[in-house]
Amino acid sequence: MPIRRPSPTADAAEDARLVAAAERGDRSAFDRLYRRHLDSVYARLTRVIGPVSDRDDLVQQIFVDVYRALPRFRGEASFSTFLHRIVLNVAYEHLARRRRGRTEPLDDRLLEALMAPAASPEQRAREREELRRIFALMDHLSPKRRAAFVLVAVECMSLDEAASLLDANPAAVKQRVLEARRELSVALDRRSQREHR
Amino acid sequence: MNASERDTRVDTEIVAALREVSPALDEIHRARLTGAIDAGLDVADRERAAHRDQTARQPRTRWRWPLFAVAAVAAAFALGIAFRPHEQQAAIPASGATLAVTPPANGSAAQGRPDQSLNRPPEALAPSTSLVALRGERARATVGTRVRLTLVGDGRVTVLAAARDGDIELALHAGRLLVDYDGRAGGTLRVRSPGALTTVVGTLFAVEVAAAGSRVAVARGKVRTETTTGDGAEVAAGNSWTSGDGRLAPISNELALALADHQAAWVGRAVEPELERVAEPPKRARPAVSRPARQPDLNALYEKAEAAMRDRSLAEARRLLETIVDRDPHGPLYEEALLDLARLALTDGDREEALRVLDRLPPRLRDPALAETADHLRARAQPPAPR
Repeated sequence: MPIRRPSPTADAAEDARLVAAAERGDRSAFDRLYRRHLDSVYARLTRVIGPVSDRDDLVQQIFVDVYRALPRFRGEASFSTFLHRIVLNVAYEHLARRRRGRTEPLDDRLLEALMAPAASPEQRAREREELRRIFALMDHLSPKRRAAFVLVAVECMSLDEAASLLDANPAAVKQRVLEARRELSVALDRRSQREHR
Repeated sequence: MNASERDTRVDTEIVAALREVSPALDEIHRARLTGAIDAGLDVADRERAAHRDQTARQPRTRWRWPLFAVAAVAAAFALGIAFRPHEQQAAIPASGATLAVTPPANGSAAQGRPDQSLNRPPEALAPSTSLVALRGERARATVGTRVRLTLVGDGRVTVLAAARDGDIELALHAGRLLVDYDGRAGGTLRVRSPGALTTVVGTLFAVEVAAAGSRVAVARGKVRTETTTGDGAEVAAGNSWTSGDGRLAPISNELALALADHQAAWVGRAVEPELERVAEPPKRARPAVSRPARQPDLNALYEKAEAAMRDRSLAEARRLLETIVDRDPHGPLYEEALLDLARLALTDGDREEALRVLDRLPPRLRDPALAETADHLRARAQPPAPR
C-alpha cells in the first residue's frame, strides 16, 4: 500500500481556516480538524512505534496536546507540520520509556491489522511472524534513529522535510539514518547467524 | 559487505516490508478512537474553563480575605459570648435532612487552605444526609461497610432511605460520583441521577451528571441502567452509557484513570466510617517508606514501579518512584523516576504538581535524551493559554 503523505497543499488552506475557527473557541472546528488528520497520525505513529497496544492512548494524547497547544501555534509552519512534530515527540517519549522497561510481545491481532486482507491464512501467518521480527529489530534502534529512519527510508521524506519535523538539521538526520541502517544491518547479520546455527 | 550491499539488504528485508504495512482504521476502531479523543478534549475544555474562572476570581479573592478575617473575628467574639463556660450550653437541634458535610468558606479548599472539617472525628453517611464537594474538590466517604465513594465537585450526593433492608439508595444531584460497591453480602445499590436509575450488584463504576442527563461508566462488573421512560441497558465493564440518547460507548481513558485512582486511594484502608476532604490540586505528601534492614535493589523497585504504571496502579507507582528518588538522589534512576512522577501528575491533569516534580531535576541531566523528554513534559505542563 502506498504511503499517504499528510495534508497535501490544497488542504492546507482548509486546515488554516479550521485552525483559525478553533482558536476563536469553536470546538466543532477542532473536531473537524482532528478528524481530517486522524488517519495520517495513526499511520505515522504505527510506523514509528509499531502496532503496540497503547497506541490508541497515545493518539488521544496527541490530539489533546495539540488542542492545548493550539493557542501557541503561530502559523509559521503548516498545521500538519505542527501536528506531526507533536506526533514524533509523543512517539519519541513512548520509545524512550519503552527502552527503559520491558518490551511486551506484539499482539497477533494488532499485527494482523497491518496486513493486506486478501492473503491466505498461511501467507498471513508467515507475514505476521516476519513483521514481528522486523519490529523487534527496529526496537534495537534508539528513538531518534528510529524516527529518522522511518521518515526518510520508509516514508521517503526528504532530509529537509524530516529535519523540520524532528527539529534537527538535515545533516544530523542523515547521520541518524546512516547509523540506523548500520545497526539494522548488524542486527540482520546476527539474526541470520542465529538461524543458521 | 560494503555500504551499498548493506543498504540493499536493509531495504529488501526491512524497508520494503514496512512500506507494505497498511495501518488503517476500520469504522469501529475509528468510532472508538474519536470517542476517546472527544472525551479527552472535553476534559481539556473543562480545565480551560476552570482555569479561566480561577483567573477571573483571583483579584476579587484578594479583596475578600480581609472581609473574611473581619467576619471570623466577629464570629469568634460571638461564639465566646455564646459558649461561656459558666453558662448552660444550648443543645443543637438535629435537623431532619442534615448535611454530613457543609461546604467550607468560599474558595478556601480550592486554594489549598486547611479545611477544619478534616479535624472532625470520622463520620459515616447515614440515610437522609448529603455529601457535598465544591468545584475542584474531592470528598470521600463510606456508606455502611460496603460502599466507598469519591465525589468530585461541583457535586452533591444524598443517601436516601432504602425500600428494603440491605439495599442502599443514593441520589446524585450534580458532579461525578466514583463508587466501589461490594455486593457479596447481598443487596443492591441504586443511584438515581437526572434521567437515569443505575442498579448495581457489585462493581466499580462512575455516575456523572452531564448537560444532557447522566453518564454511567463501568470499570469492573456490570450495572443495569434505566431512563425515566423505562428504557434499560446493561453496561458491562469497559463501557459507558448516556441517558440522553441511550448510547453505549467505550469508557474514556480519563474516566478509567479516575476510577483507578479512586480505587487506589482506598487501597489499604479499612472499610469503616470515614470522611475526608482533599483539596484539588491535591498536595501529595511523600509516603512514609518503611526501610528494611537490607536495601532492596533499586532496579527491581523501578521494574515494580513500571509494572504498577502498566497496570494503572498509579498510587503504588507513585509510592515506588518516590522511594527511588528518596534513596538514590545521585543515582542513575533518580532522573528517570522524577520524569515518571511528572508523567503521572500529567495523567492526573495536575500540571502544577508536574512542574513541581520537574523543578526537582538537576539543571543538567546525565542523559541528553532525558533532557528532551523533560522539555516535552514541561511544555505539556504549562497552563493552557486563556482564549
